Amino acid sequence: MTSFTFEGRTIEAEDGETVLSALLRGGHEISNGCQAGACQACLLRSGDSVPRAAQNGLDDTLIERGIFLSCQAKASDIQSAERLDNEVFPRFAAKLVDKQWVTDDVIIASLKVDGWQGSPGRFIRLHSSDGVSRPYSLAAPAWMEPEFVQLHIRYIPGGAMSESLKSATVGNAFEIEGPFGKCCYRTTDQQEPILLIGSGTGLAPLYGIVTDALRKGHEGPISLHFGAATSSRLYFQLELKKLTDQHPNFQFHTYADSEVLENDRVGSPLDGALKEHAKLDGYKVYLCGHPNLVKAGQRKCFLAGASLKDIFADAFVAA
Amino acid sequence: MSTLYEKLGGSAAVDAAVDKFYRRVLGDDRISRFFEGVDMEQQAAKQKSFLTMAFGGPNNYSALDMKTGHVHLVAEGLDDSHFDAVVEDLGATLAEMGVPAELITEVAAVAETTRESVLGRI
Ligand SMILES: Cc1cc2nc3c(=O)[nH]c(=O)nc-3n(C[C@H](O)[C@H](O)[C@H](O)COP(=O)(O)OP(=O)(O)OC[C@H]3O[C@@H](n4cnc5c(N)ncnc54)[C@H](O)[C@@H]3O)c2cc1C
Ligand code: HEM
Repeated sequence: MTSFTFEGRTIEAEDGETVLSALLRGGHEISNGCQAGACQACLLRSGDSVPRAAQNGLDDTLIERGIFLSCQAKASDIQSAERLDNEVFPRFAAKLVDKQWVTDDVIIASLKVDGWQGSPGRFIRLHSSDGVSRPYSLAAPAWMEPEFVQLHIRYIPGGAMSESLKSATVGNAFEIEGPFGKCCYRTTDQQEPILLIGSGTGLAPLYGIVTDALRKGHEGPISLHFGAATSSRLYFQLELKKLTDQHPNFQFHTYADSEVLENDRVGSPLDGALKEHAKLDGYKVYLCGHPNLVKAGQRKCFLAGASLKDIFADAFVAA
Repeated sequence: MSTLYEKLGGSAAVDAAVDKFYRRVLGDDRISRFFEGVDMEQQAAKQKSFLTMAFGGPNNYSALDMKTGHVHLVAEGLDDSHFDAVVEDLGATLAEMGVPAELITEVAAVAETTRESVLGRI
């Protein structure tokens, strides 16, 4: 047994139990989602030192304030915890201004959000009016006005947010919260090579990062590799093609596992990317999409020479 | 008198060693299986804790923490041979970074103080 204080009350926890689990068991309402350290729904704050492993993926300003993932911290790691004030992640009113199906399972939703600012590639939490909330990455292309947010959402039949968005019409109200995470363009060196690998709607943050980098005048080579189950589920090629025409330092390759059309490669975008970029010393690497692809990518890219601190990833773990 | 941790270069040395050490561990067939299931990003933070400790730097791990932190690995067969492999990889990493031999010996001695607790024999 171990214990910690939560907003003035003592919480008892089992050995090895997480802070989140102990609080939920004690009947406290703590928002949470994937419980795998990816969605950042369960952030709490502590005045004491918090293990860094429970702050993975948080940006530095949050780390400095003692904010941590309560699903990742063990109860024995902390002495005290409290919920965040509302001003840490204010909620913004958002209005759906455009909605398009770009394949039979991908919706591109554009929302107008007054007072919003967020770097493309990071993620937000979308709240629907019926009380569902899910994290989505910001595709927000750099040419968009800052108060607009573009999301690429894979429709999962029966999924709570998927169904909300399927039935949503232009003008419907949502709320967004964030931005979270640190998967965005980081200018340390305009010459450095950038490799981006993803699957499915993992293209959303990667596209956001690419357009942001190009708009900010990145000069080093930028190489994007992304895949889907079949060629018919790949989307956005025209937009990407346009970027390659305007920016000779940008190139992209598409992959599919089956029903592969002429312009696409067969197989995994990760293997394809590493075939072309065998040594990743000095690269910035971005990985987004299916959790298996992201996990394998973190390991393989690291072993290929990328530094742990230069690998940025968002695994689209389900709630 | 500066401490071992200061002589090695403190947290900057830890940062410089993390990638090199972890790449060596993942490439070491004797021990890589223990690291298979561990999340890469978390591992980066844990490697830093490990190195800080082995460099004699500030940390708040007790012997009991070391025991509980590795108990699931001991259940999977973690033993002295694996412990020796980690210490060897650590020495090789430091040699690659140009750390003098006498400091490497000191680091190995610090790591040695955790053997009984890591292997759950306390
Ligand atoms: C950091 C982060 C960023 C994300 N960004 C995006 C993004 O930009 N675009 C995007 O489309 N999604 C993204 N996701 C995933 C997203 O948050 C939701 O998990 C997803 O949209 C499903 O929500 P839902 O309410 O429709 O389905 P739910 O009601 O949550 O799930 C319904 C059922 O479908 C299953 N399921 C959930 N996801 C999948 C899947 N991918 N494949 C097969 N089955 C599944 C669930 O296990 C459940 O059984 C992101 C996730 C994280 C953690
Ligand atoms: C040399 C002495 C050792 C020290 C000082 C040490 C120290 C540490 C520390 C500080 C952590 C992080 C704990 C946490 O914050 O959760 C850790 C985790 C870990 N150690 Fe060690 N360690 C040692 C030996 C070993 C050996 C010999 C192995 C296996 C070959 C090993 C494998 C691991 C693994 C896999 C983890 C992550 C556990 C998990 O998250 O599941 N360690 N170690």
